[in-house]
Amino acid sequence: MTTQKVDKILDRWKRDPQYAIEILQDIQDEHRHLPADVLHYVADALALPVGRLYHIGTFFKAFSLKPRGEHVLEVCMGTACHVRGAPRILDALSRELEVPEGGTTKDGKFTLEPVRCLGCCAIAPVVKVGKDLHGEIQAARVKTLVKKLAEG
Amino acid sequence: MARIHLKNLDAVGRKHQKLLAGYKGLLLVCTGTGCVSAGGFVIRDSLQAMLKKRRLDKKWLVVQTGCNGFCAMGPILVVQPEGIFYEKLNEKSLEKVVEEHLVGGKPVKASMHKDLATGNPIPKMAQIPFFAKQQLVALRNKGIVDPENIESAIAMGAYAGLRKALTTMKPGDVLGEVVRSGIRGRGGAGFVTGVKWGACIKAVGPSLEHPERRPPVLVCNADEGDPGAFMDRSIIETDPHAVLEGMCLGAYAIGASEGFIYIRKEYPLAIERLEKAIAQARERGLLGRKILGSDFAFDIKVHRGAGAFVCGESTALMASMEGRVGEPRAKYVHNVESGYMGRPTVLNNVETWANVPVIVEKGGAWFGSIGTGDVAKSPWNGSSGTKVFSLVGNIANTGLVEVPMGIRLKEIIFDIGGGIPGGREFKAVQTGGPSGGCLPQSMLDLPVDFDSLTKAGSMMGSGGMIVMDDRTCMVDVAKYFIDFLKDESCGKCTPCREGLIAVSEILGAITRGQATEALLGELEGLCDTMAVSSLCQLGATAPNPVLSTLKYFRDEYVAHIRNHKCPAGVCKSLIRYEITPNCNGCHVCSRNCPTNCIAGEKKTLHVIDANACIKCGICRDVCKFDAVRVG
Amino acid sequence: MGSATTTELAPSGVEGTIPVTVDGQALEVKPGTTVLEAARMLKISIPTLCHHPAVEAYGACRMCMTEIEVRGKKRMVTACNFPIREPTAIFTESEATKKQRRGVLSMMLARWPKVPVIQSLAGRYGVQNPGYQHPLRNEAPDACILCGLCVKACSEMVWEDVIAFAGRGAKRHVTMPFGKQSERCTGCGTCAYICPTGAIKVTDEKNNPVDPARIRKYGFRLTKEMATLDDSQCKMRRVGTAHLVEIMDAYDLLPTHNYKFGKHARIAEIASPVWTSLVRQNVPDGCWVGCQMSCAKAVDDFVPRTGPYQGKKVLVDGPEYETVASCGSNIGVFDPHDIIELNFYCDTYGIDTISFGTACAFAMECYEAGVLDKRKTGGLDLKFGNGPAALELLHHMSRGEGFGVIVGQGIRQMKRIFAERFGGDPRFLQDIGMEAKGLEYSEYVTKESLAQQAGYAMAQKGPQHDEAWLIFMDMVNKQLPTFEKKAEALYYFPMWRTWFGLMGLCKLPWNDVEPEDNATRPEPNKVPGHVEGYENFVSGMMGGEYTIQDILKMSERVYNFQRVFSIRMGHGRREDDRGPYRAMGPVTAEEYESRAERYDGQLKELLKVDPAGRSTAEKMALLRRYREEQYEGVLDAVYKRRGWTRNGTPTPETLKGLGIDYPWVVEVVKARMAEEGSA
Repeated sequence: MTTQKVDKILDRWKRDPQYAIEILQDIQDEHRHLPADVLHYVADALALPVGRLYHIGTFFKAFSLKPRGEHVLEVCMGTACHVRGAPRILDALSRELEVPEGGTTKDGKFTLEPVRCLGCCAIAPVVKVGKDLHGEIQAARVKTLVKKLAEG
Repeated sequence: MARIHLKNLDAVGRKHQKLLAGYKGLLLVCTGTGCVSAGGFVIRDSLQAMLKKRRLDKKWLVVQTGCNGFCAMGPILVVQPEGIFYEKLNEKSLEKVVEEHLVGGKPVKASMHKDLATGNPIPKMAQIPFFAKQQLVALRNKGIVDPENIESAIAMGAYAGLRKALTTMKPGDVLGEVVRSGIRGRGGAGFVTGVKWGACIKAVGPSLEHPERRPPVLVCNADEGDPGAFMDRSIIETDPHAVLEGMCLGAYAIGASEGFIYIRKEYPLAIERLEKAIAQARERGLLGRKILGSDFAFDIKVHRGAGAFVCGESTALMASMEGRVGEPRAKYVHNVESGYMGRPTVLNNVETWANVPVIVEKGGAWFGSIGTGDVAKSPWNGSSGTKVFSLVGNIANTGLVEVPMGIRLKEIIFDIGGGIPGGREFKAVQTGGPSGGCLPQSMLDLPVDFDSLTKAGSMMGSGGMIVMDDRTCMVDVAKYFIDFLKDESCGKCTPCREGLIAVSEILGAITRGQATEALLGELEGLCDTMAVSSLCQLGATAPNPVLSTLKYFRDEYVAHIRNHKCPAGVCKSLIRYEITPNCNGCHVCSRNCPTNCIAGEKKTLHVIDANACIKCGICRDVCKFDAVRVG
Repeated sequence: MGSATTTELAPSGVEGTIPVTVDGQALEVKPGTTVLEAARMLKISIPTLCHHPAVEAYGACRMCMTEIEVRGKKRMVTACNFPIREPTAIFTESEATKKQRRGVLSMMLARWPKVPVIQSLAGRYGVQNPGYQHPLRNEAPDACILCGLCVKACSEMVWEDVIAFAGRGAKRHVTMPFGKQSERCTGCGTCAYICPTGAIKVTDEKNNPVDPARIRKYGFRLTKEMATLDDSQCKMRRVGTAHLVEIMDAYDLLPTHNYKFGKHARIAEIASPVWTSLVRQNVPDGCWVGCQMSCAKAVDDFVPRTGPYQGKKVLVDGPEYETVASCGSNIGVFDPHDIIELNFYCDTYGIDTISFGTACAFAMECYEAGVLDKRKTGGLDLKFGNGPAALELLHHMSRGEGFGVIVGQGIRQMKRIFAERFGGDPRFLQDIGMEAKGLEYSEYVTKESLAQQAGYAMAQKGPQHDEAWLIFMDMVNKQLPTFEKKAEALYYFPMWRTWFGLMGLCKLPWNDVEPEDNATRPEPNKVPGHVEGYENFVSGMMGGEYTIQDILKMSERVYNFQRVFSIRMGHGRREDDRGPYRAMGPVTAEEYESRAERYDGQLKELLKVDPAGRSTAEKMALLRRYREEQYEGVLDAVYKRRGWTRNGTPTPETLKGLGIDYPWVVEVVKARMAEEGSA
């Protein structure tokens, strides 16, 4: 990530350390993870200890210290999804992609993330990919979903 | 866009109403997250294209609305003024509605809602049982206003309460109405809102301890984290101005000029609409300096939460607003005295703020007359007003409902919710999110209010209501909540961090059939330490799902421990999948089996190799003949 | 640098005390006292794991859960951070209290069964190993129990924030960012000291001290004082040395207009609040990584108005007290921007801010006195207060241009040049040219402190308070009334302070923070608590037992070597130990008259002369003669105490006593003694 890009994000939040978490969210969105050198750069710019940013980066679910895949498959683990079989969806995706929960495929295409309730309980169980919600998903159908995404 | 003044607020509303009156009718397309995920935006755009093609776009106005509430039926279209309700639309059925109803004047029965018992179509929205028993206060504008158009909200009365306050009321009068209403915080704990505001005003000073007046801050908690709850998201997606107006009124009462809305990043549509609403309100002089031309000034900033359930806890939320990790602190000094940046801070949740304009406009006494108990005596003496619930899980009519406090559980689940689908049995209803509990069949007569739910071992929480049928294992549900919290605990204090690890371990042993009954005693001991010694409410209420299931479903625990059986057929270690003689040998299951452990010739009974089976359940999902059984 | 000036804590805003009982014993506490503090006042023990008085209460381990009763209602609270605000009954050993402590201990025992502090508390409360298997069970006796003390200490005490928590819930752990050894970690050992289980190890492979534990113990004491006392003492961490500006002004010690005066009406414009608002605070020190005092400050994004960096954003290191005085009040400049800009260009050009400011002040006084004019300065209007002219002069100096070439040679050369070329009165130039041994004076007015006049002028390197700062002892607290007392101070402090140079240590931690009980110790000016610390430091480092006497001896050897070296180079005479009269008393009528009451009083009291009816010139002459005699008296006394001749030459006996009587050394002093006739 170029420093100009980081500077732009920092300026968007007026380099205010109170917006550290917002700044890191924008960096995560842009770069799909929080690279160590960028965290050091941001820490310097905000006059914050890098340890604070590291804690933030490992505390909140939105952040990842390793690059996430091109497609992040977010499996909703909300209660409604749970009682309608979300754990089986997660297992099925994990088998299909051959990665553990939170893992990224070797080709960098997919990351599998169990996530907190997305509030789409009406169409449980739900898998979210980018901005798209896939509702009432079944374990038997995950193969097709992954195939469709892989083909773009 | 011109700034709106106290005097011409009505005129702005009337102008918009006149604009609407120029059409033959309105086509209200639901674009809440539920409907959008089912294609709501596609329906909106197609509808517009179809009208244009037929040159009907000057006759019918397409209005995108926030969540209609009946999420299970999305995408939804309501045709006004008659109020005809169409559900589960797709391009084809929409085309039919346009052709037959809008052009031909004949409503389309096929896309109407069907009565669950008789299967007869119900044309009008108001006649559908799901809507019949609801009473809308916080959601007063749901499915009517366009959340991205401030005029649309003003036409429905938005900011009238603020105008009333700025023209006829002193700050103390606004506080008085909120106190009189008896409203209790909708976020979970049910603290009396008026008392909180009063304490903040006192803390602002000047006082002996703080000789200088300390500027207070308002915070709107939109970090809705309870799994199975989406009330706050829907309110913001539906009627963001209700929240902004409520905060303006709070600011006027408390003397604040700065407010924040802390909202989950996982709610992109709500964030987008909120930011639009704030921008429009600023542009029209409803936020910022000289609001409505008066001397009152107040502005709101948005903070996006980065994904941590614990940030719903007020002190953790404020820590993360300050750019720190969301770890709670001891509340021995309350937020109203020292909250965000050490300033006196009032934090209320979205639904609470959305109720405030109505309370000011119609009066606290009116609000207090809804619900249970007599709050005129003391605000602690009952639960006034209405409450929004998200009704989800194994229930026919999934969606968002607003009902008066005191309504019975069974009315919500069976009358509004339409009961359990698929001919299965009701087993339990879970309320209050991870801090709440599971209530059994025998509690269905329970009135839904703060105190009754707490007494029954659950709690109101923010309003998630998850219905479970007989295929739900209560030990698994308890473990689900504990594992959720184990992952979401910030890990700062010992009881919450270690307690959740230990409880999860014990519940895991039970679901694997590896536990002894002595461990149940150990479990109760851990729960007590967590409840009393945890630093914040996340840990203190974490035992509730375990304690309530132990209280009402102890037999199920015992069955796992003594008989190594999961009666609901959920716990993997204790079940096996079998194929029954219903099998006609169609091969669908064996083709889909990820481990290839189903054998059998075409058209003969198939058999599962229990040693290779990973119990993924796919065979049961895909079998069209109900030939896979869990034993 | 001055000794710590303790500001009195304002009495708490809330009146009265609150009645409390702890296990039935009554006491009164101030509002805001914690339950733990109340119990400890009565020596009642409440167990804690994550609490330490040097860091803010964290309330995380929950070990101190205690039952209390307020207004008839019982509740469970954490003793470490529950503030008492109304009458409270505390029950440290009630059943409810014990039940919760057992519960917490049982959870910890499940995860860390072999950690001694947990085992011993479990023993105290009768807790058995629980019946479930903790998935993260760790049987190491020195396991980290996530109490967070190291994280808090590194942040609040050391200000480095090198150690941090990471992850959440079950994944919470203590680490350095990215799990890598941080370059910022200085190995100060505070974390290791405060850790209750020994989970943190310190290795010092580079220095290989004989007894690291002994060093760490005293190092931690200093860290704790900085964390807990600095804010009420010198505010070195928050403000830095610039906190002295208004204090010196209040005591008439802040040099203004080339040391004519000690205070100025516009002091508020350069007082410490101005600097706190301009400098970046609360970041680790830029001077020496690991220093907990962190007094060096930086000004971010400063935009110079002149010179090669004009209009560009730069970072400026400082300004310190000496810079504010030399480049500010002493040249009559009260614009913080000009001061920072002078600071920046001095640093950039490699010019000392004190030397520049004092030299510039001398040139300015000469300009105002008519010795110089615009023609001679190459057009520079060098009036006091002309910041832009001072900056221009500085740029000239750096480029070796015009008048800058003359000023750049320093005051000693300027005196000669102004007399020779510009017709200045050499006596006047000598009186107001603030240099000795060729070095410009540092920034304290010494007119009313005889001991400090000698402290400056006798210093080996020139008039720098590096060897002694005795103004408060001498002038304010009157602790040095006789020549002998002054001489003793001028023996002890130069030797003590020289030792810091020998060790490569900074002197500020010695007396810019003081132990809480310092005022009650004998000879508080020496900060005996810290002297003990340094004795332990050197003993722990090298092995053996070193006392203050050994330390002074180390210095005295070096100090005498320095003198002998000066002598060998043709200096080190009595006349080299005298300063200009401006350092001793009023040179001009303006100075005398501005403090006439003080000087008239001294004539009456000390000289028994009635000032009434006498002209200023007459009174000045009388005062001058008296002060110069006094100074000679001090020189005699100090030379005697140091074992030197009346001309300031170390005697062979002195050298022998110090064990440095090498023939080639003795030869030098003997030659000088022959020359002065004292052999």
